[in-house]
Amino acid sequence: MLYRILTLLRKEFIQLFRDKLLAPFVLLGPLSELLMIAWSTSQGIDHLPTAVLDLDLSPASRALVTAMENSETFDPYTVASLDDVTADIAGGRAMAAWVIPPGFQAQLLDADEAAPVQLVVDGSDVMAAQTAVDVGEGVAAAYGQSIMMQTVGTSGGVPLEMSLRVWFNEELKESNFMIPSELGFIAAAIAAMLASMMIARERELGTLEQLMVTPIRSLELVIGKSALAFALGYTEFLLMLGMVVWFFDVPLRGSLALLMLIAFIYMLVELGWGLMISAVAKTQMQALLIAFAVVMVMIIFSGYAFPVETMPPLMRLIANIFPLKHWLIIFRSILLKGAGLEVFWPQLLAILGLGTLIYTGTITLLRQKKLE
Amino acid sequence: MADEWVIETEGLTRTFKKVTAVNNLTLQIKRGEIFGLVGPDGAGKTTTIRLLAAILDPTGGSAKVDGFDTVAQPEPIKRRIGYMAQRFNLYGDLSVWENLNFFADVFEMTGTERQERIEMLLNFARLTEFRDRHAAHLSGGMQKKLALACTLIHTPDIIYLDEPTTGVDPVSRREFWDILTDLHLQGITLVVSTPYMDEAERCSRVGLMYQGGLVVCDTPEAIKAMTEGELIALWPSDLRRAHDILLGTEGVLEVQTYGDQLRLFARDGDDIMARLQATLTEHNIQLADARRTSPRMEEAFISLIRRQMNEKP
Repeated sequence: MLYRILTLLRKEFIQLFRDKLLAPFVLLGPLSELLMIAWSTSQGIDHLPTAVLDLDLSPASRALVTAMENSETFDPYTVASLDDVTADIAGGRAMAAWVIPPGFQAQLLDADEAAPVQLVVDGSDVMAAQTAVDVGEGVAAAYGQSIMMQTVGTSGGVPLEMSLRVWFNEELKESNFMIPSELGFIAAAIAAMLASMMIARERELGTLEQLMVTPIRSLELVIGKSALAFALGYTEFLLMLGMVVWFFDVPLRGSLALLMLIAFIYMLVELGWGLMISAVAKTQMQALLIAFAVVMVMIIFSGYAFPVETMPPLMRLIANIFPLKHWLIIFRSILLKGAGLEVFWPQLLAILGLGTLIYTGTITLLRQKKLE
Repeated sequence: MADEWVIETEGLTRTFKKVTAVNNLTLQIKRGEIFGLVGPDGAGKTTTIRLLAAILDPTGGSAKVDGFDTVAQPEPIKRRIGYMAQRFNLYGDLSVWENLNFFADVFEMTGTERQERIEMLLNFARLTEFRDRHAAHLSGGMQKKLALACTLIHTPDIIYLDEPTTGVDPVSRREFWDILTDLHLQGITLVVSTPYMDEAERCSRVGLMYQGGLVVCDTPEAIKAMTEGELIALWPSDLRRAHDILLGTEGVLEVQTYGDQLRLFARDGDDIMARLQATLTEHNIQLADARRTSPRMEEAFISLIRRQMNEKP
């Protein structure tokens, strides 16, 4: 059995390298896609030109400006009057402005009263404004004092919400959220799509029929064919992980070994989807389209594009049947929070349970269809 | 005598959703013969072969190949048979040599036996000089020969060939049949489906399939002898009108058109030629030539199918 699987694998490798497009496409395509997303989200909102009107000129106010600067979201420069603030924001020279009132230090020292600081943001650029507000709050919190903030939106009047719970991603870098999601899901989608296409290809070319009159059994065929798809997907995952950690400073706070192990399990589960599709699809095109449809639904329910928390209760319930949702939670926990099994064992159990279901379904389907 | 039959089916039936492709087929094939499966498109030839190759499970009845049941014991069957599908079923992006090696691997062949076998087959299929060419870049005839070589890799006792020469030029077709004859002489059982009547004549026995069932199964000579009446070839001046007129003439059983001639089966009688001539002259149709001839497989085939159609409307 092992010999025949290895035989198949060897053939797959020859074919893979002979196909001048497939291997580069599979390995470099998603990598460059991730690169673009990482760039656009990580370079997007930081170093906002920020006007600072310091009317207090005290050590406390200067410390606040330093805190801003350290956030790397604000690039503060000093202005002389409130008119300058208005003019710079209106003219687009500043994306945000901090106004520190006179007596700021005195109020800060007085424990009874909160010290007010005004943050003005240009609401016409919603993303930048939101980031400025969020990071501004983070700065204030990190400053460690009870500074009361007044936020005033201009020229857009965007309703701005206050929330001071920015943990694990203090700078609220969007890239820290987007990149792991993107990465976790691309790798799985690639493995599933490839597996489904590879088996559909044999069926489409008629070679599957030829293989069926040889001693190769259905199970051996499925293992032999999907092993390469899996290996490609997993390599892709490691490449992408390396890239985001080294080049995009996405933190890897948890255990790498644990992450690799769980990624392995998770991708096996998603591979089951691909195999299930391959049991149904007659041509590569069909396989690709079905896989695409499945992936789209997965994205919606996974919390990758929209937070699952804001969905109606029924949708929230449905979201749980997609392994991607649980995997993204685990993946982010390991990357950003440095969490271990004690935190995300329920998600891991969910993935294992769903995997059992998916494979039971796949094997039943394959048996029934007898790879016709 | 039981050992004489290498393939036996008993009420073999296969139904796809709404179509019954093979219907209650009972068939025996002798060891070492070239068995031809002929019949119009959709008669169930391909399905029959796939059932006998244990690729497809029947929905009714059973089939035994070399004593093994196709449903219960497909694995020993797979080691004894070779199957060449109608479509080119090899890897186009692998070379001739790699394709042969892959199938040798799959059948777990090793050592010198394997090397000798591959060289022998390359030579046998006259592909030695093309060994490094990608299968997709071979001509149609060469692809068929490569496919045959791949099905022969494990020295099977029985070979199924599904329309092996469809879409192949006449020279390659002749060459291919020479190869099949070689195999036949080696004692291998060949089951060949074909739409070509000249190929059917080269078989030891022929099974004529129609609508999933076996109409007749015998030697080509016996099948040709089954036609009713006498075959007469005519070269009239107006083919279509002559066809319609003669069809209504007394004593004429059946009329078939072939290019510029009419071939008709007529009840025996010395006066038939004269009567035909008279009928045509009556309708102002000239007759360039008319002669008695012996039926070929083609006439026999069409005649038998027509008879079948009339019985089962």
